[in-house]
Amino acid sequence: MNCDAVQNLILALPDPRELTPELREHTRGCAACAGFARRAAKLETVLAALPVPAAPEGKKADLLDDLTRPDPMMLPMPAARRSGGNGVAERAARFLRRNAGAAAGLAAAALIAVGGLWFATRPPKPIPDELAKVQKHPLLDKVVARDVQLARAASPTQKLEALGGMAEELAGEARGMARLAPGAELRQMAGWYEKVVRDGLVPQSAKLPPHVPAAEKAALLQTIATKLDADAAAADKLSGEAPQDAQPALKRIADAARDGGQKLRAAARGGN
Amino acid sequence: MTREPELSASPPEPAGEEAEWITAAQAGDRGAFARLVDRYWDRLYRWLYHMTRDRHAAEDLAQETFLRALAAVKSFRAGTNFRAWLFRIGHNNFVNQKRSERRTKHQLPDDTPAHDVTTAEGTAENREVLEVVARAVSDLPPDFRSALMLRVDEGLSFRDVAKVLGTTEETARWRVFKARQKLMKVIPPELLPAGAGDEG
Repeated sequence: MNCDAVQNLILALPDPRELTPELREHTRGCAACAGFARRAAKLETVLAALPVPAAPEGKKADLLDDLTRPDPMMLPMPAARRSGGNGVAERAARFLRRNAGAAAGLAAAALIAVGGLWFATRPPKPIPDELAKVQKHPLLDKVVARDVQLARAASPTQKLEALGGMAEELAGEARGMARLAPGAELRQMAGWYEKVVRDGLVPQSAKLPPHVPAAEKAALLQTIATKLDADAAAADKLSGEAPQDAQPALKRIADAARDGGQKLRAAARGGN
Repeated sequence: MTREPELSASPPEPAGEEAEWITAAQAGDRGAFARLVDRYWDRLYRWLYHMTRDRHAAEDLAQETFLRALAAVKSFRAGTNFRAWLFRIGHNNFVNQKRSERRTKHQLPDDTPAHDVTTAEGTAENREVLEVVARAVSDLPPDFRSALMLRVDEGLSFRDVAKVLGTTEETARWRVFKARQKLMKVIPPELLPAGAGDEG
């Protein structure tokens, strides 16, 4: 064996620090290859010792925390800002934190119910801010914010937009939870989504008052239909990657979004 | 300036308990999956850091890899190499990220300044060796770098390196060989003195 071949064989070893008997035999009688083997061994040692800076954001700890927490839906919920309070707001906040999932469902249902009154001619009522302030769960915050937006809406357009935003946020939240939350929670989210789309958006789109110009009505419904299509596509895509028990909920969201989108487009064309 | 803690390569894992964790994770036990995360996060992060040279990107990729692994853990075949399977997902994420970076014409940031790869305790000579080798490694083509670090840092066999990178065993061996060859050429001989006896 010539020296070039020996040196190439050394570099092709699983570990150049562990020479085969043939290579060792050659290096015993060849100073150049012996030196090369020692350099290759040193390189291997240095490579294995290359330091790496610590990860900057503690995402490992966050993920471990998420995985070991008993109720993943409560993951983003921060601790109460104040402690030791016994007031109604404090107790309500504690209750909502413990029951954020159910509370969000109630808020979603309330949203739809409020939406049913959208063509009433009453002027918008001021909403007590205290109610919204006690919510600490991000999803619940969003639902309540939509509730407030809907109740304050001065026009049918604003009310329909609030319902569309609600659907979009529920779908987004479900997608965010899909990889971590148990299937039961996702099914609950899918139920709310269906309710917002089927019992809120679709019937309300058919009840737009006649004084809304046709072009404005078509543009609004088309915009919301497009968002529903995006929800459907995103849920479909994710259902291919999500855990098996999350897939039925994602499919329900996709179906409800597709169905809602078709109906809104039909309404936009005046075919409802 | 305070120096951040650095991660070192971990020793090989015991196989028995890992198989139990995998089985439990496949049955929906999130705590069991958490133990797998705990075992492999630092190792995956190290490798991804060598690939990206950006600790933020490496951390994001590690997180994405574990979320994808969680979603797909039921499809993992018992008895095969979980680490290779996990790193394969990490490699796919890295490749996808590179593709999307290319599409948006953004370069991955390089946060490997020379002082970041040195140890506080090391001698000046050792620090210089580490700096030079780290720089030379980061200049390797990504395919060579990924194969080399899987072999050297993770101790994967060429066969498992091939599985991670989606190539043949021979190609994996070739890439590691070429990576070592390039490093031997660019690193000055005086930094890898032939007198040092690391040979086994």
